[in-house]
Parts: sequence; C-alpha cells; structure tokens
Amino acid sequence: MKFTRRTALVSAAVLAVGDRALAQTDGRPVLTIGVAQVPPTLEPARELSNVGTRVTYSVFDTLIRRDFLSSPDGGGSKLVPGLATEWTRVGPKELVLRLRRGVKFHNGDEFTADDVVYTFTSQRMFGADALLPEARSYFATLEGVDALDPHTVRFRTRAPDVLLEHRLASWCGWIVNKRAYESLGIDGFGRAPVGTGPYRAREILPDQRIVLDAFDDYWMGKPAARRVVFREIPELASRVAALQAGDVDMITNIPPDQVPQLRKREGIDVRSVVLANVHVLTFDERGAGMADKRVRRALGLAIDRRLLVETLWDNAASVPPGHNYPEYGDMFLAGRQLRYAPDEARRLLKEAGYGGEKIVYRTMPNYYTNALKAAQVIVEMWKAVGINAELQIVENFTQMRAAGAQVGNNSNSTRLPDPLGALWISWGPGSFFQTGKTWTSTQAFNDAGRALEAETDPARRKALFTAMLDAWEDEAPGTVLYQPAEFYAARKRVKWRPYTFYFMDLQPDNLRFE
Amino acid sequence: MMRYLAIRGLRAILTIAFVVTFAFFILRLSGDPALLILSPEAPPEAVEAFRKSWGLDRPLWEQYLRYFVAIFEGNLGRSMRDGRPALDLVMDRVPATLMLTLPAFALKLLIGVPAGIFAALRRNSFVDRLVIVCSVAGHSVPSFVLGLVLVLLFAVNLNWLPSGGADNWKHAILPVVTLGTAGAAIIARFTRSAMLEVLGQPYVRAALAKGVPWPSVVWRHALPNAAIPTVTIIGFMVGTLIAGAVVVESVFSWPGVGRMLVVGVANRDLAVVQCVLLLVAMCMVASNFTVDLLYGWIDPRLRAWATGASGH
Repeated sequence: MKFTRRTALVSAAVLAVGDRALAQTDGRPVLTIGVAQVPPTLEPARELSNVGTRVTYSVFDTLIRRDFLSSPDGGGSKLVPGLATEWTRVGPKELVLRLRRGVKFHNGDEFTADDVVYTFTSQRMFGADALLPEARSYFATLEGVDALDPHTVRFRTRAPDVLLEHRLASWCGWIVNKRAYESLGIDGFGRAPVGTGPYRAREILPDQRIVLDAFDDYWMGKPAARRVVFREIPELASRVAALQAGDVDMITNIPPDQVPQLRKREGIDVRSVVLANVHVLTFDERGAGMADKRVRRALGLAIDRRLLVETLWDNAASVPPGHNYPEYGDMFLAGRQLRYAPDEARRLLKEAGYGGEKIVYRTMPNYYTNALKAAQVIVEMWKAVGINAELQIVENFTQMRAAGAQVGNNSNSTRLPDPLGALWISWGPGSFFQTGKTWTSTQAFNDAGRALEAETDPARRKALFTAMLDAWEDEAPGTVLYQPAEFYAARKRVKWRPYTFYFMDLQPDNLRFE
Repeated sequence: MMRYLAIRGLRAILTIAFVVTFAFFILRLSGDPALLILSPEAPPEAVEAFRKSWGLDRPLWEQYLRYFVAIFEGNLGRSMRDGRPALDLVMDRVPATLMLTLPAFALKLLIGVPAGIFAALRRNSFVDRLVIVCSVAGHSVPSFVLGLVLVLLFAVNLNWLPSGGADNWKHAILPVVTLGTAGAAIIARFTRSAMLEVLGQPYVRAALAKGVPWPSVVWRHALPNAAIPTVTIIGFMVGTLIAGAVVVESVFSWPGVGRMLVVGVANRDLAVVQCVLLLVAMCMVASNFTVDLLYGWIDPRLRAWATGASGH
C-alpha cells in the first residue's frame, strides 16, 4: 500500500479516536514515570544499562524468572517458571526446557522454540561479528541451542555451567520474536521491538519518552496500567516538580540529599532499595608508589565506610562484607568484613617505604551518586594516615583511565547471584583491569576463578571462592566502598516495589493502583 | 561588491571548516564513545567490536579525512546510539527548537526594543530606572533558576501550566517566557545605550534647532543611527535560534536540538554532535552575513566602504 499524507492523517485520526474510545472503556490508569534518561532503542541485549533495562523488562520475558520478591529486600534469587514451565539438567553440560504453550508475542505470533533458538544464535550473540558483542560475556559458556520440538529446547554449554539457569533468568536472556527481528534487523527491531512482556511498545522517541501499551493477552494476566509512559526529565529539580505538580506518578534517580524534603510531601512515598551493586575504588599498580600491595591495602584500610554511609547516604546504603553478598546463598562467606584500621594503614605504609609520592584520585562528579562527595571525604581520610592524595575531577571514563592517575572509581554489579556473576566478571581475565594491565599480579586470583568456573561441587566451589576473594583482597587492585541505594518517589496510590536491580517490574504481580 | 561578497563567502567557509575540525578533534580526544555508549563494565571485546564497527580503531587523520570527504558527499554520518542518519535526527528536532526560539525571539523584540527606546527617551525618570532594574535582573538571573521558579509558581503551586514536556502549546509557554525574558533584557539595555548615545549627537541637536518635530527627530534621525548595535545583538540571537535553548530545553524536558546536543556530547555521539555544530556554525555565519548586509542598508557610509567607493 502506498503511504501518502492522506493515509497518515487518516491513520492518526483513527488512532486518536480509538485511543479516546479505549480510554473511556478501559478504566485502568496511565502510569507516567519521570526518568533521567530513556534509552534510544529497546533492543533488550543492546540496552544493558540501568536506563535501558528499566524499560525493556516490561516488554520482554525470560525463559526462567528470578523472583526478586522472594526476599524482603527485593533481592531474592529464587528461580521460578517464566516462558519455560520446567527445566531439567540432562547432563553436566545440557539443560532441557519445556516452553509454555499459548504464549503470544505482541505481533500475534505464537511463542515457539524457534524464537528461543533465534534469540541465542551465534549471529546475534556469539559469532565473530555478532550483532550484540556485549551479550557474549553473559553467555560465554554457551555452545548452542537446539529446538527438540516446537515447545522444547536444549541448551548446550562447552563446560559444566552451574549458573546457566541464572543466566537464562538475567541480563541478555530476554526472548525476541524471530520473524520481527529477521525482517526489521537489529536497528529496526530496536525501534519496533516485539516481545512477550506485559507491555508493548507504542512510541519510542529518543531523549523524550517511551510509551508502552498494556498487552492484555499477557500470559501472567492483564497488566494493571492501561499505558505506561517513561518520560525523560533530565533535571532532578524538574523531575521533583513534575511529581509535585501531578504531571508524573513516579520519579527515579533521586539523590539521598533530596529524600528528606520529598518525604514531607503529602501523598508522596519515597521507596528505596540497596542495589545489587557496589561502588569501588580501582588502584592502578603502575602508578608511582602503587606497585607495593601494602600501599594499596593501606588505601582501603584508611577508609571509614560506615561514616560515608551515615553522612552521605543517611544509612540507606550498606557496607557489604567485602566483594561478597548474602544473595549468593550458600556461596556467601559469613564472618568477613571490610575493616577501618587507620593505625594498620600507617604501619603498612611505613613497611612499604611509602615516601609521600602523590596519589591522584580521579572521579566523575555525577556519574555515580555521591561520588564527588565521597571522594572529597576519602582524600581527607587518606591524608590523615599520611597519604599524599590529590583529587582530580574528570568528565568521563576515557579521561579517568588516561595516564597520570593511581585511583579511579567504578561500580561492580552482581549480575548473577554468584561470585562468577560479580567479582569474576568485574575483575577476571576479561576485565578492563587485567587487559588494561592496571593489575598484573593476578595468578592466584585467576587460578581460583578458572577452577570455580569448572567446579560443580558446592563445598569445593565455596572453598575456591574463598581463595579467589582472599587473593583479591591481598593484592588489593581495588577496594569496595559500599552498596549504594536507589531512591524512587511515587504517589501513594501506586503500589509498586523496587528490586535490587534497576529493572522496573510492572508485571501484574508487582504493580497495582489504589 | 562582488569582491566583498567573495571575501565574506571565503571567510564563512573557513569559519565552518574551523568549527567542524575543532569539534572533530576535541570530541575524539576527550572521550571514547565506546566506553560512554556501552557501559563502563562492558567487556573489552565488546568495546573493541564497537570501535571497529564505527571506524574508531583507525588513525585519527584517516577518520578526519573520511569525515571531511563524507561531508562533501552530503553524508554526515549515523548516530552511534540508535543507528539513524545524524542529519535526519537533527532535522527532526529543529522544528521543536524553533517552536521555542521563534516565539521567544519575537518576545525579546516586542519587549526589549520598545522598552530600551522608551527608557532612553525618559532618561532618569522612574520608567527608565524600572527598565534598568528589570533588564539587569532579567540578564543576571540564570535561565535555569528563572525556569524552575516559573515551574514552582505556575505548575506546582497554581497548577495552571504543565511542568515540562512538549505535548501541546501550553507546554511551550513557560520555556518561551524563560527564554524571552533574558533576551529582552539584553536587547533593552543595548537599545537604551545606543539611543542615549545618538540622542546626544550634534546632528540631533541640529535637527531640533531647525525646528524638526521631536517624534520626527526620533523616528528619522535617532532610531536608524541607534539601530547598528541593536541589529548586531539581534543578529547574534538569530544565529542561536537553532541551538540556543540548551539549558531551557533541559529544564523543561523539551525535545529540541539543544537537548540533543547535551545528550550527544555526554555520550560522544560524534556524528550527531558534529551535525548540530555544523548547523549552528552555518546559521551563525548566515546570520552574521545578513547583519553585515543590513549594516550597509541602515548606514550608507558602510555601504560605500564595502563597495570600495571613496567620499567625504
């Protein structure tokens, strides 16, 4: 059909009339969320940042779901059926999943094994010129996926992978519609995505808004909102004003110092969650004075993390027991802690023969919440134990990682509830720190990590994690500061709970209105 | 005249080439798009693949050469964030920005020029003092502060207008007023100063001595001579119509070119930023050129100089 101006006008009129009619017959509210940024596309394995996953989580589903609400802190790691109703290990390197029947994609296609196979093809995720190179790291162990019948698939891995089920429930595991992807290509699909999630994309306007409509054929039931609008409001003050004026129902990315004011507003609730993420300082061992690991350890020992959490985060953030988190379940190492020991720091500096070499700490002012304030405090803490520290403020990671600095900041996400999904991804052989040679004394850490990848016995896995974490803390290529908190403010009628990831779960079981 | 136009044209091309070159090198040397568009935790192979796919692994001089050749072929590159042609993305945003900047420009002229003239004609009166105070205040209050105050008043407290967005004409009111206020203050100050200077000139006294009526002195002798500095500043404002609302667009979440520029710079979306800067440079050059022509039209002495004529 030829697309003329007349066609466009008629379509617009039909849509407008249809919209109004729908609004009159559909009593469900529209949920408008003010966010600092919206993603430019909705390709779920390309938009892997907090900005992207916040939206794509409502458009796509995974085969297995991680039930975040199985834990009161919103960080549960219990696995429950998603697009797959059951799954079975048929060998150390094979997992067979039975797919849910009757699930529809937003374009009306029935969900089948072909879509699963296509989602994990080498052309999309693994090949030399894969469309989504970032996805490769999440499924590095995967060898291939076979459709055994229209509703059964088999995942094969190169080596035993105890985390495969968790990988399928997490980043990059979102299932795409094969027919739409093949016909539109990666860019076209990113602008007109087709998934099986509770909401389908209606309008994607980069830097403006993303509008999702309820997908009433959703397999978990009718979504609670008729429409969800993610409206980009980059300025914090403008986001707060929009919430107060009633232009939006919820806002995200609120810094801790704004929370007390918002709590005083009638009809508004502030909800916070400690994220599955840690802010870390990274130490470049090539820098002057940094080659001796005792100096690097002293830098970590001189930081009073609890003071930072009390003063900068109003106690909403959390100091974890090292790069080691309770959500690991049986792999969590109890009894460890991050110590504040300034006297020991002084002693280590003396033993290392630290001669007052300047240690430059580079940070970006706004990339990580409270990064600049924390840096200013930390520099003073270091000076108090005799470290000649200097703070430099830079704009981006390229400038931070340029020569001339010994300390930078970073964050490590716990992508999977296991050390392999956190410490190993962030600091392992494929990480910037090892490939960029900021950390070279890696043998003990890498040996333990590689053994952990291949190990399936729970007790031996735990011992290997202990060895890996010991090596990391002993060599001190970086140090953990704290797990930051994320704050949301919403109208009280919006009943919704945040997760420890940036995913905004708007599925029927986590969103309702009063 | 042709020689004058040729020199101006050459200067314009050099200016645009300088802006484009400067932007090209500064953007590439100050941030790696791969680390900004992918997450900082992206694996090195993903970063390398990204660099390769966008040609960022090539030597800088080669990237520059390719970019310049592409410009002459009309290809301004693609956005690294969503793959669309940069020119299409920018041109999609131009109407939204003009929806703010054109009414704001009209507001600046409608308030600034009469206020400046009126204040000069009533020098040292209450009206003059009021115009000075308002123009200093309008000029010195940052637009993001004014914008937020207006939002607090009209959106949060009175609930008369939306706090931001761009859904209908009501959304444009607060940003237009914010943009227009500062500009009107500047124009009023320039116009007042220029008028005061001209009103003290001997030819104005001579006209009055000859018995020319006061309105006619103002209209025919003072205003044309006072127009030069005002036209200069107005010309500058015309040049910023395309991307002159960076702060206001951010405060009001207005999807214009200014907002696109901020996001583009933050993400080092090179093609988009370069495309915006190219457009801004072209607008500035065109605006300056028009102002130069207007000088000649307003002041015959400048016209004579430009055409090479001599005289006394």
